[in-house]
Amino acid sequence: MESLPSGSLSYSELVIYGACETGKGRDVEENLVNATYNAGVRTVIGFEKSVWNSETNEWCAAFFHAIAEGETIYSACYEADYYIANNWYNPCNPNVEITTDSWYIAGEEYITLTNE
Amino acid sequence: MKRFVVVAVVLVCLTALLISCGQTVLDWERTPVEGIDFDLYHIQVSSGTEDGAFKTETVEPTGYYSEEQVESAEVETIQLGKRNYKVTLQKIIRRGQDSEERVFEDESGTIECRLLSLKQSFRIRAKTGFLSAFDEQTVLSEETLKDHALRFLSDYIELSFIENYDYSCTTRDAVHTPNAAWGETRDEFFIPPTDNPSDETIEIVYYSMTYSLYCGSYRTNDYVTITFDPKGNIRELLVCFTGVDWSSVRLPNEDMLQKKAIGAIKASLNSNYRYEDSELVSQRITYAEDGKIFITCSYSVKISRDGNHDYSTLCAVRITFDKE
Repeated sequence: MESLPSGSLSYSELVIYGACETGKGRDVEENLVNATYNAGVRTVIGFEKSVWNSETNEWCAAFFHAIAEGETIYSACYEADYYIANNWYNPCNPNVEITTDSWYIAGEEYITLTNE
Repeated sequence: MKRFVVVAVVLVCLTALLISCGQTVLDWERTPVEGIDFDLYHIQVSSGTEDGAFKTETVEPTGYYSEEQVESAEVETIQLGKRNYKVTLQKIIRRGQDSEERVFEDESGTIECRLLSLKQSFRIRAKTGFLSAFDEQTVLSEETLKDHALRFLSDYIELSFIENYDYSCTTRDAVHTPNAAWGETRDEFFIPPTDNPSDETIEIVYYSMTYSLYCGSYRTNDYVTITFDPKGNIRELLVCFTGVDWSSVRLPNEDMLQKKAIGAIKASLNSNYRYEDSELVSQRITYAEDGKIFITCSYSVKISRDGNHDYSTLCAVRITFDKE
């Protein structure tokens, strides 16, 4: 990512890394989210913690559902959190703690994504 | 004799009335675990990565999940703890083979009630507004929030019921800076400082208080969680009760179990990957509806591929105790 020329991704609106520790250190450390944002993407989302694949996939699905409903990026993160908290609790099968609540956004959080 | 017959008839009629109203007769008794040999167990590793590092399949924490919408206008009365609600059944959620959740909506349409098939377990959630208002004249603090929680809870369960439970409080917030934002969960009650000199803005999303029962150092699936909005109004209550007398559970030495769990993780790696280090993220002991008991430990595991490129991944290790 660092080898890309500055601004080479400036035509990209949104990138989401549904993978472990892509936002580790948030805005103060080097991580994949910050590197992608610095390459010109308007908004980049990753996760501070190690995350479960299947949980992250469901989080992303809920996120994009909210985006399609016209929510802002921040509100969509909030809606996806709510979806996971509401659907992933199960006292009979508490395999894992929730991990997707560690999302990190670099860039503009209050924009909506519309088809133009 | 005649008096006995009259009493018996009255009792039968009352029971029939309760059944016809669809009420849940609550039973908060705990019974010892029987028929499980805690020296007999098997260990299963589930990895959280799909990159081929592990021989095991990717973990599916919720497993099988299905929703059945119910078209019923029939109003019934359900009892949640000490409270009765007039509700209509909306849907049935099935998770795994044995777990079932019946989702109801109250007459006003503002409260959702869920009856879980795990013994006496239920969840109540305000769909709009809140379940119980925080007194606006009172200063919001951990203690005043706790008082509010216990007053609310006493409408549902006897408070003596949670005397042996461990208390914890978390704050879910979102931090906003000019060019970034993130969500974080703090293991404490937190009020953002009003004189914050940095360019960060901290927004409280919710507070949560949990009373949990432990078996050794493992959290059981006997717990009570109350969730508040940022103003201290109660939005949600979850009561999970297994009916298990956890003091009757005789677990093997915990250090030995940890070593075996780490050993199982190492053994489940493919040959070109190497275990470097791991950190325990959570550990729980669970009573399932099929009568099985299992311990689930989540680890953040650092592994390397072909001697370089360290990275971390999540692993769940499940230790299942078998029936005799």
